[in-house]
Amino acid sequence: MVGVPTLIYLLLGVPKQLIQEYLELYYERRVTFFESMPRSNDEIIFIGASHVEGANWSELFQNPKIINRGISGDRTSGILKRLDEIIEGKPAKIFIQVGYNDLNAGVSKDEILKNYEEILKKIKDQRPQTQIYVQSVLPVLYKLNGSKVKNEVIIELNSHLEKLTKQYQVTFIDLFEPLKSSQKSQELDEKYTNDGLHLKANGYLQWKVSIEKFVNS
Amino acid sequence: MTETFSLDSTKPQKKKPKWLYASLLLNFILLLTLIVAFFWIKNSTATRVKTYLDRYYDRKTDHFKTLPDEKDEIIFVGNSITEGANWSEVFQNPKIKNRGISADISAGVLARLPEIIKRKPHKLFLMIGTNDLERGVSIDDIVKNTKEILTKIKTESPQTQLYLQSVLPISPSKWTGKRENEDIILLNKKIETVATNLNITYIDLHAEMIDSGVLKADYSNDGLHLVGKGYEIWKTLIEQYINEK
Repeated sequence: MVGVPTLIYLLLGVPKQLIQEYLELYYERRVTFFESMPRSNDEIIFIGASHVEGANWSELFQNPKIINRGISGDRTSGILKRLDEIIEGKPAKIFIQVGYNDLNAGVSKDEILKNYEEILKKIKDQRPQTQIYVQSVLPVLYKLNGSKVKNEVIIELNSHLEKLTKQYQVTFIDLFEPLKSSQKSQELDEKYTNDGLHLKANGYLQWKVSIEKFVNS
Repeated sequence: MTETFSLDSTKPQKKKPKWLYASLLLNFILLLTLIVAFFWIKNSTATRVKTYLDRYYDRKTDHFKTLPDEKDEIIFVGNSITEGANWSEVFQNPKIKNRGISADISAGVLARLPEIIKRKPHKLFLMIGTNDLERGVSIDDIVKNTKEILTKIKTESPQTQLYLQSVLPISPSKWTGKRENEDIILLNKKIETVATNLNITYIDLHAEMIDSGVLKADYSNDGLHLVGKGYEIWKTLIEQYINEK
């Protein structure tokens, strides 16, 4: 009988570990690629996880200065680790959008905020000329998204993020409101997603509207 | 003799306890449950992965349609290996557009080809096939699809300069799945012939990335996808085609 729980653990547990291992390899591939890239003046860096990675921002804005530094599965701690490389390029602007994968992995709100604060501090200290834009975590749609992350938790994290940006005098951009359903529920609008978490093209167009003036300013 | 015989044949039968049957039955049910659970979990994992990739393909193709069409685009078409590099950064050339979609196969490229042809790109670099092998598509079918992709572009956008890139070798690991290097070599030979017959440039990346019969260790961290170093080599191999008129 000892074998049964072990077997069930193996069957259910392994895929999750495999996913984690896969994401770590993916992170390494992306980072080594980024490090091999030439840098140019006045870059506008989009940094984050799969939400950021999922759009060809430079094409969407017709602006070759925009550089995509999204890595699927990334968390605040992952951003912190690769931040030096970003700052060394002396970018004109940095747009950050990260946090969902932290919540999904069970990272505490305090830990996320601590990492976020360190990110802001680091950029401000080493490169005060760079304009920083913190974008909120996006809502999710429960019925399509398999994860247990609740929108109330996202809203709470976002309000803390907003406070943090005030403290550090950087711009906060709310993406939760424009992407949430127009109904009373606080969920991602079904028209913007096909898996409850990631954005379809029209979701990105909505996102574009929310940040356009900051990209072009 | 008779006494012993009667003892042997009747006594144990009568005394076989009921719990033994109950235990056998329970064990059987348990075993059956485990077998069913095993296949259910195995299947649902496969289904989840498949659903995830299908949705990814849908989101990406949908996104590509909303991106503005520029003059003289250089389009990179393929799967995750193409998607994994920001090619416009690599060459510092905003005309270059990445149209790689993770997990895509030759049939997937064929299905989204109209959106690409509509742009009448200046150049198009194609690399596809490794995921076909993983999914069990026959080499002949991959060759047929590749030929169809190239022929369609040639016919519908004759100004487009076409470049067919070989499928990369693998270094077998738990991440490389069912693909085999022998199949990749055979596939490359056949698509090279297709390219030659259609008068299209064939770029052999395979030969430059192989070491002792497998994908060079420095170029990958999973035996299938490329790290920064792998993309640096790739860049040197296609640079002349990017820059030519």
